[in-house]
Amino acid sequence: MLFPTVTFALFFFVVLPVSWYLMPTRERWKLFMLAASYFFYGYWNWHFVFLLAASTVVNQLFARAIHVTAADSRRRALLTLDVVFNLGILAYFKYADFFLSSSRDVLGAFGIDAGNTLVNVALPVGISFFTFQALSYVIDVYRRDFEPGSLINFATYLSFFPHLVAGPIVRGAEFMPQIDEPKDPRRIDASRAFFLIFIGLFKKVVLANFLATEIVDRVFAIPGQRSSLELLVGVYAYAVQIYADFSGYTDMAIGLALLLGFRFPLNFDSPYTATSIQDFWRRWHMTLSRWLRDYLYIPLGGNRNGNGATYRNLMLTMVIGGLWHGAAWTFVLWGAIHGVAQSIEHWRRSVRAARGLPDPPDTAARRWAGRLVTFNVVCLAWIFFRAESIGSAFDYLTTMVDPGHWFQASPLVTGGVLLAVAIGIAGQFVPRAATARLMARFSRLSPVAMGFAIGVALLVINTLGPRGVAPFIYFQF
Amino acid sequence: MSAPSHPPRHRHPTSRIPPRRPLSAGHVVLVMLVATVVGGLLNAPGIRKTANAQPVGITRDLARLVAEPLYEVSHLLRIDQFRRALQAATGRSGDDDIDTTLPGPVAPDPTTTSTMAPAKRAFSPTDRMLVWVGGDSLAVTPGQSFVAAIPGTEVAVVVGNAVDGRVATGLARPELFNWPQHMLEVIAQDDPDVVVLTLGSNDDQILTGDRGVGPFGSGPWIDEYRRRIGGMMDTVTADRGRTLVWLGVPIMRNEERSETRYRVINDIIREEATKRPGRVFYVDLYDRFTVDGGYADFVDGVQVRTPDGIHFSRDGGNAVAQMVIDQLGRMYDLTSWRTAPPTTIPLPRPTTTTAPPATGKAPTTGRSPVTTTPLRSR
Repeated sequence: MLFPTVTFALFFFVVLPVSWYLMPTRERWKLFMLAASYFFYGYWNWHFVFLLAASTVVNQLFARAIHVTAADSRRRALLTLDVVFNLGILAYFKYADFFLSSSRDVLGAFGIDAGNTLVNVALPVGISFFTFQALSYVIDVYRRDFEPGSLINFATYLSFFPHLVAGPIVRGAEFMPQIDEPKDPRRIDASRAFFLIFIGLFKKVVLANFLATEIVDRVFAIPGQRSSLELLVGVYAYAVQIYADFSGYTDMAIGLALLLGFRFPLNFDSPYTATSIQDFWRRWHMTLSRWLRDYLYIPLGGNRNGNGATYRNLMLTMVIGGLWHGAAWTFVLWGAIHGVAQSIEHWRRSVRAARGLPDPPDTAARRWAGRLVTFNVVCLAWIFFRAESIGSAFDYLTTMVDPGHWFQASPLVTGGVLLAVAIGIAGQFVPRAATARLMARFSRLSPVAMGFAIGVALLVINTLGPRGVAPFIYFQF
Repeated sequence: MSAPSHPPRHRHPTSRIPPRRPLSAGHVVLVMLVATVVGGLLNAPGIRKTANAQPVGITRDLARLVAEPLYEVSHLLRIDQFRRALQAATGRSGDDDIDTTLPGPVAPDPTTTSTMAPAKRAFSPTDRMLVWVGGDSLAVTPGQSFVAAIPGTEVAVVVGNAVDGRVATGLARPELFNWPQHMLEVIAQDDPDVVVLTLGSNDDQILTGDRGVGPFGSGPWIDEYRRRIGGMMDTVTADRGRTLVWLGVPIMRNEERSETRYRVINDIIREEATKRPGRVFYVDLYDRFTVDGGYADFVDGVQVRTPDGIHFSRDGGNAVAQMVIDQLGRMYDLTSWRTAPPTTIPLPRPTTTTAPPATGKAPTTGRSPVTTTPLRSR
C-alpha cells in the first residue's frame, strides 16, 4: 500500500478514528494497531507478514534473554547470535544473489565454472528498515541503555505502519515509551501533520515523478546517446528526485504518525545546503546516519585511534552504508566516494590542527563555496547510486565530458525540468521560521476551511503529477 | 562519520512565531472528510480514470461505483472545469479522457496489391531508417539496448533516442492505455519507417472496452483479441510501407501460465503477422529464451532474466536487441552503402496476404515469417 493512493486513504480513514477511539484502553489499541500494521504490510505480499512476526518474536526473545543475563560473556554471545540472525535474514533475502553472481564472476575469471544457481527470492519490502530497528533495540538492551518492553509493545513499535517500509529508522527508546504515555485526543498537532503530508505529496507526486519521467530515467537508461548538457542536468535532476522521493515519504510518515499521536525524529534537514560531506550526513537520512554512527562507526573505534584507523572506520562505515541501500557494486562505490570525501575532509582538519592553525573564518563566500563543492561531490556519487552498473556510470561520466557531446541538441532539458530542479534546490533554503509561521497561520483556520484548503491542494498535486504513482525509491532498500 | 548534530549556526528568531493551535481527533476527521469531498469533486475526472484503470474485479467495480457518480456530480456542477482549466494551462488537456474504441483489421486495398516480393529498401547514413520502439514493460530493457546499439548500424535512428514504454498495458484494457490511438499519434508526429512493438504479456485477462469479452481463452475472447491484434497491425502499417516488428511474449518462470496463456497470445500474434507478409514480422522470444524447453535465468552462461522471472536483464535485453537488428537486416538493405553509392528504392506499397515477406522467404503456415535459432543452453 503506497501512501499517495486512494487505497491508503481509505485505510487511514478507518484507522485514524478507531485508533483514537481505542486509545483510552491501551491494550486493545495495541492489538488494533498491530493488526492494522500487519494488514498494511501484508497488502503487498502476505507471506512476508510471517517474516516480520518471526523477526519480532526472535528479537524479543534475545532482548529478554540479554536483559536477564548477568554474565558479560553470555550476554555478548547472545547479542552475537541475534546479530547473526538479523544479518542472516538480510543476507538471504537481499544479498544472496549478489554474493552468488559476484563469486561466479570471480571464479569465472580464473576459468572455474561456478554454475548458474540463483536464490531468486523476492525481497520483502522494507526489510532493511525493520531489521535495523530490531538490531538497535537489542543492542540498546545489551548496552543497558534501554529495558526491553513487552512483546506486544515491541511488536507494535517494529510494525507501526507509518515507518514500517521506508523509515525513518525510529529507535525503541524513542518510540516505545510513547506507546504507553497518555495522549490527549483534543490536542493533536494537526496543522503540522497536514502540512507535512501536503509537502510530502507535492515532493513525491509532482517533483520526483515529474523529474523521473521527464529526464532522469531517460538519461540514465542510455547515457551514451545523450548530450553533455542533458547528462549534467540529468544528474542534478536525480539529486532533486531522490531527495523529493525519500524526504517526501518521510514527511508523510511523520505527518501520519503525528495524526495518530506519535512523534518521529527528523530524517532530512535541507541536505543540499550542506557545506561539507560530513555536514551532508548530518542532514541526509539522519536516522540511518546516526544508526551507522552509533552501532558501527563508534564501536569500530571512531576517530579515537589515530588518523589511519579513522580513515579505515570512515571507509568501512560508508561502504557498509552503501551496501545497506542495495546489493550491487554501484552502491559500494557510492559509499566509497562518500568515505573518501569524508576522509579528505578529516585529513584537512587534522593537518590544520597539527600545524596549530585556527579554523578558517566562517564567511558567506566560504559557506557558498563549500555548498557548491559538496553538492557536486554528492551528485558525482549519485551517478553511481542511480546507474544500473559501474560501466554504465563511467559511460555517463565519460559522455558528459566528451567534447563530441557538448553541442548536441538537448531536447530533455526543458523549462519545466529546470524549474523543478530549481524548486527542489531552492526549497531547501526556505528559513524554518517561514514555514513555522505558515503552519501557525494554517492552524488558525477552521476545520472546514482547513479541509477545503487541503482539497484544493489535492487538485494541484493530482493534476500536476504524472499519471500513476511509481513506488518510492527507498522501498527497495 | 558525522558527529552528533549541532544546532544551526544561523537560527532565525522564533520567539515571534505564534504557537500552532491543536485540533481534536473529531476535528481532524472532519478536516479529512471535507478535504476528501472537495478534493474528490475537484479531481473527479482523474479519479474516474484511475478507477477504470484498476485490475478487473471487485476492486474496480467498487471504485467505479464511487467514481462514476462523483464524476457525474462534479460535471453537473461544473466543478471539474477547475481541473480541466489547470490541465489546459499546463498543456495536459485530454489527460482524463477515456477512449476505449479499438480498430479492427482493414481489408487490403485490391488496387495496391501485388503478388511480387517487394525489393529490399536500402538505407544509408544519408537516408536513415527512423525506428520507433515501445510497448509494455518488457519493451523497456531490450528497447534501451536497441537504442544503445542502433548507432552501430550507422543507418538507423530511434525516435527521441528513447523507448516508449508503458507499464502494465496491452490491448486488453484500452481504458488503461489505448495503444492504437497512441500509435496514430506517433505516426502523425514522427512517421517512423519501422515500428518495434512489444505487447501481449498483460493481455491474459478479460478484454474490456468496446466489444469487451471474457473469460480469457474462450472462443469469443480469441475472436476479439485476434481482431484487436489485426487492427493494431493494420493501424501501424496502413501507409507509406511502414513495417511492424512485433516481439512475442517470452517464456516466464511461471511455466504453467506461459504454456497455457502466453502461448495462446503468441499464436494469435504470429498468425496475424503471417497474414500480413512484408508488413508485419513476428519475432519469437518464447523459445529463444528456453533451456531444455523450459524457463531459464541463464542462457549460454549469461543471466538473461531479472529476479522476478518476467523481465529481461541487461544482457537479455542486449540479446533481444541484436535479434531485432538482425531482423531489420533481413527486412532491409542496411549494408550496401558501404560498398556502393547509396540508392533508395521506391517504397513498396502495402501488399496482399499472398505476397511473400520482404525477406523473400515464403511464409509457412502457423509459423512466423522470421525463423530464429534458439540460443544454445549450457
